[in-house]
Amino acid sequence: MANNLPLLKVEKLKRTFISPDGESNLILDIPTFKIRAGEHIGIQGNSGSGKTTFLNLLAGILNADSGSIAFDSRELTLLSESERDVLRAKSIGYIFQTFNLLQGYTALENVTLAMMFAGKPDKKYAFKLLENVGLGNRMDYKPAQLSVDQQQRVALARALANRPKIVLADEPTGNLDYRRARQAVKLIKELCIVNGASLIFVSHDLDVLDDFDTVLDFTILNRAFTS
Amino acid sequence: MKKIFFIVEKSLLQHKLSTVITILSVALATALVMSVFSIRDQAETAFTGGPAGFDAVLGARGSQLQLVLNTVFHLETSPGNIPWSEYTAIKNNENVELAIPYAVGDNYKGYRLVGTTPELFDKFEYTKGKTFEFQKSGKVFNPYLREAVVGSYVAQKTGLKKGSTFNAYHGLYFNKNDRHRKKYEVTGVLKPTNSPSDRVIWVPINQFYMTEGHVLRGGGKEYEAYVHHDPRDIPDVHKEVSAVMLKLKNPASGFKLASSINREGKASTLAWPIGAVLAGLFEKIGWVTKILTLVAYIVIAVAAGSILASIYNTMNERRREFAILRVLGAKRGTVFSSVVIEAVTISFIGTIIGFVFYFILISLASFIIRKQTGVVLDILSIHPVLIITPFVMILLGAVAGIIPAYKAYKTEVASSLSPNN
Repeated sequence: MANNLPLLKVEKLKRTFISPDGESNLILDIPTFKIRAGEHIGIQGNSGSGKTTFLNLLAGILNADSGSIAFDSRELTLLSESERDVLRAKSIGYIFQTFNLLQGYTALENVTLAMMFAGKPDKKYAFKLLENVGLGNRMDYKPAQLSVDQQQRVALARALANRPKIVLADEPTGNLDYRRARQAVKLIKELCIVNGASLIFVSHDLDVLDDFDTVLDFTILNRAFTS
Repeated sequence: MKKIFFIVEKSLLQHKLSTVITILSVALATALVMSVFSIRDQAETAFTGGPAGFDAVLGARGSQLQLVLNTVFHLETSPGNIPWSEYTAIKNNENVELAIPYAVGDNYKGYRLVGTTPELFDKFEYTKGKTFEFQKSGKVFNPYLREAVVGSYVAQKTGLKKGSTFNAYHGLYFNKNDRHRKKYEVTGVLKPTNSPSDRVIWVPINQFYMTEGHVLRGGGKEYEAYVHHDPRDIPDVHKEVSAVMLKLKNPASGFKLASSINREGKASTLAWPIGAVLAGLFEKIGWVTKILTLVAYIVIAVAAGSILASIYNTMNERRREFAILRVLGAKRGTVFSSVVIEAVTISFIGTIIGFVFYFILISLASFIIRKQTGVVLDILSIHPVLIITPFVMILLGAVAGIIPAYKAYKTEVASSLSPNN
């Protein structure tokens, strides 16, 4: 499934935050990280270890202080904000712990809106995605009308809406019980395989990451945390 | 653009209540501004240019405006009477083309009776090229009989028709205790003219003199003409008129007459030109218009402020929404544009509904003005304010949207999406 070419390669990535008292805190220092096209990696790390910041940097939502993020042969840190927006719309799927669905939109609209930003709205494919996550009969429901795991599945369908090359999943099972969390991981992995997408799945719970061949300990990956 | 309109549509639907309230405030502001300017200008045009049909009015010494209001619009009280000899003198003046006497002082259920001569129906054009026309088989009254011609509005309101008889009441305001004994018979009902004449009952001036209780003072002492059986027996020396309506031969005639009557004479007043006299009225009540205009501008400012407030107040709750849109690939410009277009959409829809409110307001105003004065506004006329106001409202909407749009533009994606937010 996975090939040997790195889809994403991170080197010497650093990010600091300024604390309210004006102190500069290094919270992320990743010497190296890479993921091949189609590869699925689980990352385990405690709360506050910088996992979300890492994913935000990979998604181009945050700017790095230094270092390199090479994604699909493009250096992310050299792209303008607008170019990163386009790249994110077309090639990166993002699933959040709190799902971050748009509350005024139906399940179907949440998925099709994501497609609009990539410039390729495809209602039939949106239908198919929602059917694949078991929400074929809930397409016109708004998030508030859906259960927590149904919302999570809408978020998954939305993340896959533009056939991304990589899916970044930030604690997507954090609000689910263990049984549902395992089912969710399985579903996310399956759909990423079907879509040929790489997957970085972040969780504080090691048990949830049982199904991953590669599981990295973020406290080791992130030197800022170890130091 | 499709995605921006989609976002705008969803946002407007998501905040239905504030959207509807804001749209209504814009609609009311638009309607109010358009109505104030449109009604003001149309009323001025209608009063100063439309319904007179005459060039000048000769009446008792006093206010020209009162004279015009009393004779042309059948409002206000008469400033007094002038002797019949003044009428005959002006009628024979070389500058006068047509002179028609009016005598007022009676009413029927609040509608004025105006004593006049048949020339009003034969020679007078109430508007260029149009003389009074009768409905069905109506005809002009006989100047020596107790007959009457009824204006269309009066006929509609009182039910008077050809062959009806009625008693007049003394005074310009209806009081059932002031009924005159002798009845008038209606010889015809006029077709609508959309002028103050529709609200009048025309009777022979001679019969006006012969109404019991009417005392003539044209000769300097009181004379009771109602003792005569035939009006032709009333000596001219005792007769008097409330006013003489004049058509002049040319504008220069007006200058000559105004000079001789208003500057050199002392007994009477010539109201000329009628349009200018009425324009003076609008100048006098100009402060009312100014206040209304100021109120209209304030209402516009409040409407623009309400657009700003309604969108700005949702900004905090929508911060996460904007961040999600950014994560999905929306550019900052897309988010900014969606908020500005949302504001413009509110203004646009408000303006469209504003036109509906405007037509309701102007129809109401037109109805009231017609009821009170007989003057008809052209509610379908296109006033420049009907074009300018929508543009201004939409522009103000866009400007009002800029502040919240900038806030949306500056949304910090990562911090806004934090589970703690």
